Amino acid sequence: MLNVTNLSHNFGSYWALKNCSFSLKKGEFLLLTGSSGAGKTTLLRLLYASLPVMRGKVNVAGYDLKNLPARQIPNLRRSVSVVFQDFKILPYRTVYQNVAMALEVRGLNQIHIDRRVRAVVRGLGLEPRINTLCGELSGGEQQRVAVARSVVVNPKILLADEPTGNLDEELAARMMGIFKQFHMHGTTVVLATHSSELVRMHPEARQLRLEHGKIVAANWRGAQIFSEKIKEVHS
Amino acid sequence: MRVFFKLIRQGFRDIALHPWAQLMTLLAVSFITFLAGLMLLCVSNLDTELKVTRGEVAFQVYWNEKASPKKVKESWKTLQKMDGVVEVLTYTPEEALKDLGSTLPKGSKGMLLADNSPLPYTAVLKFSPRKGDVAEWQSKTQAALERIPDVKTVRSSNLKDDVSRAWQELSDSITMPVLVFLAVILSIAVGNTMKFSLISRKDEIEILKLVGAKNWYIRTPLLVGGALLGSVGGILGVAGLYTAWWNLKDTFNFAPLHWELHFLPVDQALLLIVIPMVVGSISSWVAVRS
Repeated sequence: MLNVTNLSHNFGSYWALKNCSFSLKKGEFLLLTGSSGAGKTTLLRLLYASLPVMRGKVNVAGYDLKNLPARQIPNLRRSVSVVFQDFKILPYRTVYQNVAMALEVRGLNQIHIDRRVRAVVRGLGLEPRINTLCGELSGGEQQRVAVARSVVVNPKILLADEPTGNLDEELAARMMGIFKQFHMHGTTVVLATHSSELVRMHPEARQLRLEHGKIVAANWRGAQIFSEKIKEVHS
Repeated sequence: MRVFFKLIRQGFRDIALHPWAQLMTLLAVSFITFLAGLMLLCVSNLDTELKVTRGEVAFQVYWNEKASPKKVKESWKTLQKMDGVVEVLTYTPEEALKDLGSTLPKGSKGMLLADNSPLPYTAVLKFSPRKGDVAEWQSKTQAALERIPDVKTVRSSNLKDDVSRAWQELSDSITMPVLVFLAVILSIAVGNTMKFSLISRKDEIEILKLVGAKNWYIRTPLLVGGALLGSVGGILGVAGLYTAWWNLKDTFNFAPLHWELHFLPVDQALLLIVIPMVVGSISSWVAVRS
């Protein structure tokens, strides 16, 4: 589902990622940890083709990102959904409109869109607010709208960049519960966080620790070896 | 197709997202169209007037002194029907004398024989011949006039002076540059508004891209917006031009000018609407692409 091989990325003379390698199978849950500036966001941006892959290889949901033509990026993003720390929702549109947007771009019919949006919004406890403008929602509600927009399309991979960074502890725990639910339904989840508390609370998840752009630790053997000697892992 | 129509509707709705910017662009497009139209209106009217008052060739036809007034007047009727004629002025001997007298300085009129005009029946014909060999046409027309019964002399002269010739050439070549000028200015105005619109919709476009929207999905509403701004601006500009023309059309319509201004030909008026619409779409496309 997700293969990263010897991936490096630089911004000028600054190397944000250095020779990272790991792979994930369908339905796995990965916690990407590390302090601010460790390279988590850069790695996620590379995974959804917001940055071009310059060195190394990345294969996401069957797409070879190094050789991906620009016209194919929308197709990739129909398989990979992203949740951001700053939500990236439109405050002047309603909850329904924000969530439906992800389905509308696919040209689905209105009945299907309506059914899907209402089901997901109900599942995330936002039904009473469905016609409220997102600018009038609390931070937790806005984050749930962002999650709803990401999962409404049944993505193969869900990427989340510090999705609990702006939430209090209780809301963060609820949000993690929501991610776990979608993971249980077979979605591959990659969640970047600098919260050690979150990592401690989910020991069952695969974990990859980044420091200064390098993978320095992983809680599964394959990842560590993969980072060092990719050929050995394959053998 | 359903999605396409939805995006077109969205293009209409999105106008309301930034009403002031759109209103300013609409005004800019309207004013530019109005000014370009005004320029074309002046050119078109001057052109027409010059063609009428300064036909390319004039003939002066003089009848025999003993010609029958009845026959001469019958001949005058046939002159009106000649091909390419734009004006026929006729003079009886008395009228010719009076006209001549009006051109003389004060005090010299008494020298004329008021009751016994020595002048013949005269006609002055102004022609605007079709394009082609004017010299050949001129000699044929002269011969035709000389064949009229009792005609004694026919003289011809090219009335088109250097100024009117220069104007004719200018007016022939000015229409297209004016329309190109209109297109360029409009593309700058509409393109900049679309860029502004894109900046203010940056978040929305970013989100649309993140959720897998293809370029045409993002661009279509903006193209519709550009076309809408262009066409509505064009219509308003032409409407303003029509109103101005309606109020000014009789400004020069008095003796001796009798110059009634006419409105633009339909094809030019339509171009003033179509050009902003097309340019609006194209400049939006360029703005979105870059």
